[in-house]
Amino acid sequence: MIIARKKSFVYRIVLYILIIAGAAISIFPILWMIMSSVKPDPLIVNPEPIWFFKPTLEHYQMLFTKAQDFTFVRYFVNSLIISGASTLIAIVTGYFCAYSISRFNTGGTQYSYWILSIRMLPPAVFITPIVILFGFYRLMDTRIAIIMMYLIFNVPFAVWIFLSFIDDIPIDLEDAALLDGYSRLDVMRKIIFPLTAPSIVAVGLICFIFSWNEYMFALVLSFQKASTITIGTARFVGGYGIWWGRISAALTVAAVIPIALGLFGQRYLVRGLTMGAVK
Amino acid sequence: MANVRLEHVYKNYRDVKAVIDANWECNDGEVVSILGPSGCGKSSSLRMIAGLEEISNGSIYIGDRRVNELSPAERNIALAFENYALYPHMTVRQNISYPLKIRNVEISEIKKRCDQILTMLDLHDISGYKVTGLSGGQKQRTSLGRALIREPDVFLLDEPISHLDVKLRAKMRDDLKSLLKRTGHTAIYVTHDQLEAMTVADRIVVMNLGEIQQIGTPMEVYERPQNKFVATFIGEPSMNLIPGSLKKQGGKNIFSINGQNMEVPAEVQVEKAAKEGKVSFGVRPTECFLSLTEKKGWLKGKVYTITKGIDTAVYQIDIDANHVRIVAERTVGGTIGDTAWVSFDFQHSRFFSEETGGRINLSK
Repeated sequence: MIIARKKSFVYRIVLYILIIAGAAISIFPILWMIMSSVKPDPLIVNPEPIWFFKPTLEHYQMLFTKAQDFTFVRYFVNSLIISGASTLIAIVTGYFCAYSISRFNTGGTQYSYWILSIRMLPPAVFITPIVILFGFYRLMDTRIAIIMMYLIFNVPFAVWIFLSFIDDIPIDLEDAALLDGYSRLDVMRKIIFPLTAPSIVAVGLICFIFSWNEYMFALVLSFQKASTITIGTARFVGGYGIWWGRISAALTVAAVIPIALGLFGQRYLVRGLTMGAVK
Repeated sequence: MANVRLEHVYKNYRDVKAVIDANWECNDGEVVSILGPSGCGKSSSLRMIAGLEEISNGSIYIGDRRVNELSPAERNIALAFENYALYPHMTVRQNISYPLKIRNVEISEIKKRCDQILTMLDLHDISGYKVTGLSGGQKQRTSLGRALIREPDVFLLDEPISHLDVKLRAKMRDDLKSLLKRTGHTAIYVTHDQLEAMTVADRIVVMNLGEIQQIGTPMEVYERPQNKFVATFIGEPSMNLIPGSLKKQGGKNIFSINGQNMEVPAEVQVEKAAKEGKVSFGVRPTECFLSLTEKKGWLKGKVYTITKGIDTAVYQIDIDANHVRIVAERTVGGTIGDTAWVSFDFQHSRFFSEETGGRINLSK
């Protein structure tokens, strides 16, 4: 008995050391980013890391004051609109699509795999045809182009997560509601929707974070007007040097949104991603 | 309250014929059970009545209304589902009152009727619980409550108690029967369990492979099965079907099985059977006699297996390659391989045509 307890005590100590080490390693880059964002420029490039200094907000001021040809605020707003819109559209279309595949076997048994197969391709495959197509329709450097691009990735993901959720809800439940007097739309709204709410939060979060962090397509499809925050941040890498302080400040601002969403949706995220598989 | 009438109803799923020419009626206040093995079309029939499946051909009437084109809600029926289909995000009370809530019934009225149902089904203590944590029996009663609160014209039950454990099932079977009789509902009860059908129903519709095999009261179906399927499907252990031939020999009626002869009562019209060719003799295991000492005029065989139950034993006797099941006292004894003599109670003698499987009426 005593031996067992001792063993478990040692086990716990080791476990906690490992957990703390893991957490430190993962949190360090973020911490360093935040520190750099409030460090005066000369100290950032110091060969020895400097831990203690007088913090400054000059980088943040630079971000939010209007420069000649671009503004950080515009990139931030672009990112919000593009990520928000592509997430919303992915949720709505994905949800209805998944419902119809699950309940009416739309498109036959292979249809859902066909949708999934879109995500199996390396994303770069899409670049050339999409650039030609969007160029033809004069969609380059518009937010709509980037929203549509992200939907290519977000909709299949949404369909698959929703599909696993809706499949789990017994069809009898819908039949019962139909018998009780609901229309098909009422059944979806009042029975299926509340039961699949965690999946909606999970899908929303993941789609949003994917869109928010995406770099390659945003770079190819936008020049200036429609650039997102990832592109905007990269623009601080100039021909005459790298503005480390401003990059850190921009990234800190950019990280606030996903972190806030993550904290808010964490509970649902875990439930949403495990409920389909584990009961 | 209303009656339900099916007229030449068919259900096809692409190439599969799930229901073929169903023609029957459930009278006002009657409990009819649809009984059959899985895949026989009993659930399809029920779902067509409920409006959850389209009717491929034919008409269904509830009362005087033809309901083919009506939505499930317009038919004013209630369905108790096999897996209960309770709304998992609601409590027992919310589940039971939900059908009324959907129909915008006044809150005070909902509460009143919900309380009645809770009392009737003894659910008051758990009315505030979420349904996900309930036991099978509680879920089942909640699902019945949700069906009953609407006061529907017809009450449909789709294997409502097949997921319960044996003891609870026996209790619910009795409760359900008394509940249905008390409320006087017209009810259609789908089950694959013959015991449920026999005890709960006023009449039974026996189905197999989409076709109706027989419609009758539990006793009729048991005593006078119309064909081999009904004969073997109903009754446990199932009825023995012994192939052989009927003939007249020396002024006596003789049934012969692979060379062994046995006398059959004079009432049996052997001449009729001669036209049918080969016949099978149907006899229930409880209508057989078994002896381990020689009896004159009985059929001779060997004990093949002995399955001892709680108060009886089931013997399988090998009579010239025909295995005959016999329910006997546990005290009969004997071991596998012993010689045994078998005779039958011919009071209910049933003969089936080997060719069509149908029953041949040989009484005068």
